[in-house]
Formats: sequence, C-alpha cells, structure tokens
Amino acid sequence: MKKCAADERWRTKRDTSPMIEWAIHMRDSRAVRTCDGRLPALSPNSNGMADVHRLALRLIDEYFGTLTISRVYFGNEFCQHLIPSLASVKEAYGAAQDRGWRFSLLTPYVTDEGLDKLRPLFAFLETQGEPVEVVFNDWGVLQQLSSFPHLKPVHGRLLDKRLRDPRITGLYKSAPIPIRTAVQRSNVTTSPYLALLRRHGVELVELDNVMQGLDIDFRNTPVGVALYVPYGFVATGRVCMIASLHQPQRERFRPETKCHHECQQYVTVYTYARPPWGNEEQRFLLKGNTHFYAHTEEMLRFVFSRCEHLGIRRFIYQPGLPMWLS
Amino acid sequence: MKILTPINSLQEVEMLAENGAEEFYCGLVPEEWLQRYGGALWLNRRSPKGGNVQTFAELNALIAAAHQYGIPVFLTLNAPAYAPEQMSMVIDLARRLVEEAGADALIIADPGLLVALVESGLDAPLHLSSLAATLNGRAIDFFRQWGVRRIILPRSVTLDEMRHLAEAARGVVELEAFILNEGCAFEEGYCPTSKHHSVGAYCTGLADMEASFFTARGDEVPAAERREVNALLQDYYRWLFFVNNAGCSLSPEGLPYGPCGLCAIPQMHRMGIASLKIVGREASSWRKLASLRLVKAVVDRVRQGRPDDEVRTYAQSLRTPREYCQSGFMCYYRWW
Repeated sequence: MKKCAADERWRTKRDTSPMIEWAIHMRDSRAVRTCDGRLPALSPNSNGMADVHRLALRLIDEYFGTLTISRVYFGNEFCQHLIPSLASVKEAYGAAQDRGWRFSLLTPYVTDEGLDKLRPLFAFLETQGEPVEVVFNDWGVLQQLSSFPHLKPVHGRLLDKRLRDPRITGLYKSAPIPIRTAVQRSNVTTSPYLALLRRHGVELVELDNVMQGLDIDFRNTPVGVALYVPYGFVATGRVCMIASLHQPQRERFRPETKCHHECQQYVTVYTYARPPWGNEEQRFLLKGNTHFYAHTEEMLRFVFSRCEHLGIRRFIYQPGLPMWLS
Repeated sequence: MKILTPINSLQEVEMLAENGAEEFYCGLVPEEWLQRYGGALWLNRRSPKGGNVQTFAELNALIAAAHQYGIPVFLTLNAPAYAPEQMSMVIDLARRLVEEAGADALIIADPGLLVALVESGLDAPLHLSSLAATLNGRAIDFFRQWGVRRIILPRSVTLDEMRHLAEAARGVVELEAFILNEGCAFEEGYCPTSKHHSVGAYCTGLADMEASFFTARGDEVPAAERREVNALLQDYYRWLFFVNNAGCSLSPEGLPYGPCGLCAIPQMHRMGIASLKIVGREASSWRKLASLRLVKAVVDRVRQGRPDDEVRTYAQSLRTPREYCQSGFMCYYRWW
C-alpha cells in the first residue's frame, strides 16, 4: 500500500472508518440501471475533466479500496431549469429501488416557479415506503418540506456560506490562527444554527471540501456531515451567460432569460493570464450558471485521511460537473 | 415607500437628511474584531476602514443626529456566516448597537445569528439581508416565523416575482428592494467569494482570465461556434462592467453610473415595497448625495401621482449617456 508521505497521521484504507456511506450522483435512470454498484472507472461525461476523476478515483481506491454504492443522488443543486421532471424522478427512484439503493433528491435555490416544479416531486416521494431524503439549498424549500413529513430534509452545501474563494483562500492556511480558524470552520456548527436544523428535523449537513481546509468535528454533534467529491462550487446565480447565446444583445443576461438548456452543450474553462498568487495551475469551470473548482490531491488526501476525526458520514461522488439535464 | 441611504460618518447626516434621506444604514467594526482579524475578514460586507463608522462615539452621535431628523438608522451585521468563535462577539456587538447606540434595526444574513438574537431576547427589529436569498414565498414564511420585520429582496428578483412576493408578504413583513448602484453577476447569497482588495470581486476578475469553450464531451468548440461564443463573452464582460458600477465613475453631470431601477419605481410603489435601497456605504459623500438626489427626483414624481410613462421617461432622461441606459445592461429590473 502506498505510504502517505506528507503526513504520518493520514490513514489508509485498512483503518478508515467502515461507517462511511458512499453515494453517487446519477444523471438519469439509465445510469442508475447500468451502474455496476461501484464508482465508474472513468465517466464518458467528464467534460474533458478526465484528469480530475482519474485523481479522485485513484485516491479513493488508495484510502477506501473497492467501494459499494448504497445511495443515489438525483436532481440538481444549482438551477431550477434543471429540476427533473416527475417522470424522470419516478424512473430514477424505481431504478434505485430495484438496485436496493437509497434515494436522495437534490434541489436548487428557487423562485415560486421553481417551487411549483418541486411540489409534485415531493408529493410522489412522500408516498414511497422508505423515507426519502431531499437536499435543500433554499430555506423556502425547507419550509415547503414541512408539508411532507415523510421526507427527510438534508442541508445542502450551497447554504454553507463560509468564505470559499479558490483564488485566495488556500493562502489562509498560513494566516494567523484566528483568521485561519474562522475560515476553516462553518457557521453551521454554531449552537443556534444546529438548534435551527434540529427544529426542522435536519440530521445531515452537506459541505464542500474547501481550499483553506476544514476544521470541523461533527462526531459529537446532533447532525452528521457529508462531503462532495471531486468538485466544489465557487459561485452560482440566476443569470446564466450561456443561456443568452441566442438572445438579442438587449435581452442578454437577465434572470428570466428563456432557457433552452444551452448549458448541456458547453463548458467554459477559465485559466489565469496573469496569476495573482502564483496559482497558474488553477482553473475554474463554468457550466450553465455555476462556476466550479476541482479538488486537488492535497484537498482529497486531507479529507480522506481524516474522515473519522471530521465526523464524515457520507461522501457523494459526482462523475462530472453536476449540471445534468435528467 | 422610503429612500434608504448609506452613510458612514456623522458629517454626512445633515447633508443627506436635508436632501431627502428617509432611512439610513451603516456599519461599525469594533476594535476587538480588528485586533483579531485585521482587514482579512469582514464583519459586515465592507472593509473595516472603507465603509464603516469608525468609533462608537461617532456612531452614537450619528444616530442621535439622525433621530433629530426623525430618520431611523439600521446597523449591518450582515456577513453571510459567522464562525463559532465569532458568534459571541457579534451578539455582544448587536446588544451594544441597540442598547447603547440606539440602532433602530439590525441587518443580518446568517440564520444562526438570527436564531441567536431572537433567543437572546434583544429588543430590536431584524432586517434580513439580500444575502439570505429570499427568492420565494415559502422563504418569506420561513423567516417570518423568526420575527423578521423586513426582508431585503435579492437583486435578481424580477418585477413579476416581486409582485408575487409582495402579495405573500403583505401585512406580515416589509420588503426592501435595490434601486441604485452595484449589481451582482451571481446570486449574492450564493457567491461566498472574497471581495478583498488583493483579488477583487470574482466576477470582475473573470475578464482578466483566459476563457476557453469546450463542448460537453470536452472537445474544442468548432471555429464557427467559437466566434458566436466569443461575441457572447465580450457582451458578458460589458455587462459585468455595468454590474460593477461602470468603474465607479460619474457622468458629466456628476451622477453615478451603475445598476439602476429608477424607471421601475412606479410599479414598486404600487406593490407596496417599503423601502428603496441605495448601495454604497464606502462611496464618497458626493456620490452618496448624487445617488440620493437621483432617486428622490423620481420618487417625488411618483408621490405626486404622475403617470407611469411620464415618470419612466423622466427617470431615463436622468441617466446619461443615453446609450448606457438604453443598453439594458445597467438595469436591475428590465420591465419592458
């Protein structure tokens, strides 16, 4: 087994907690049906990000060995135009049931129009036998979920509002302790925030693996924590550049621009012309309305080696930039 | 419908009050925060020195002077998130701002702080920042449970959406909407990037980066399509220029450029929007005054009951050069 040279305390797959659940974010029901129950060797839909996935899969194997998938994530966190149809949710849920996998529906921040799209999905999932998780990234969605008591709300990563700017926050690792600590911790772990979550029946919080590192310990909190691999989001918004591609100039860059799912056709990769901090290797990935960063080897090793200490209960693997039209 | 004006010094009270300000908002960063974090972490969305009242003594005097004019003063504690070890300091500060300085409301964004303040029994109205991203009626219901008095709508809310939200909020919570200066390329509440001067805003920095378009399969975009997407990109950068206040410049008449919702004021007035927010605590006194005059000139005509078309034409005539206004890229709310 490869030794983790950078830090002797880093764990390897022999002593990693067996309690961690592995979930995979599936783009459609066909993917659910054809998945062999393991992480995909390399996704054909990795948008030219094969190196990102190759790294993640290698390190997952190094730390955890061969994994068994036990949960499917379905839906979208970032854009209400990518909320799946009721038919596709039914298909995906059915496929997951057939495989014996649990099901989590991802939901984005929404206007009232977006909420109208979500309600039928909640109504369907509410009537299924086993309680289904719904990941909310909008407090209005959580409020809506109170009408569906059989669904289990999960706090999404978009609501972790801690500073996360991959251009600069990596530098905070060498900042004075008070600054470093403040950006490595999350407001989610304050007692009033946890009280708010408990009041609404939230038992799981999702976070991103951020450049500045995580200084969290969910082992003794009433909620568990889940992390996404291998992408984090930088920023997202209702104005989608690529949706304006075929709009007249005066109509471009409006939140209400008619969406034709142009995001499914293009990925924009931003690299530095003049790197401000010597970070010329960094790139930011724009798909649809959301900018992403890919996890580095250091970031992945950090969380994989400290799962137990951080209190991580679940990893969610996303085999491509998570902006699928299901 | 009130005009909410930014302020960051005692000296600005008289000037802004005499020119039509009806509500003020400002911030203060205590010495304890500065000692611990310097300028690296911001307490309230503005740099400690650039956009804040500098001392408690000045804040006390500012609030007292504003109250002489009958103008309430709202204080910003609107970081999107406070870390666990920051929370007690922020709660103590909230108590001082209300009980010692006489703040009329606190502007907050972190749900944890909201719960903490409610449970602390602090007797102060709470305004929910646009950073909380209240985009739908159920979110209004959610925050109303916690006694929020006012919700500041995100800039991305369209007028149609605002109308529905105003109906959901009617009689239970006030709504405030942006009216002038400073946009957001992303949804503000979902853009937790740094605004530190060493890097600038993430959106602004995009124009300084190399952008390459690929197909969904990872191939390079064909040449014909590349021309189209590159043209889109150039338009996007032009839009970002307006979103970011057109370089903080002033027109030849001394009026501020930057995002604007002036010609939507008649509709917002009918919806019952409680307050129109001018952005720019860190701006010069002159820019604050120019912004206030611009908004007041339009609000006065609405209050006089002038027809919508007349008000809109007048509002657009104030924005020079005309091509900036007509581009549509300077609008918060494109109602046409």
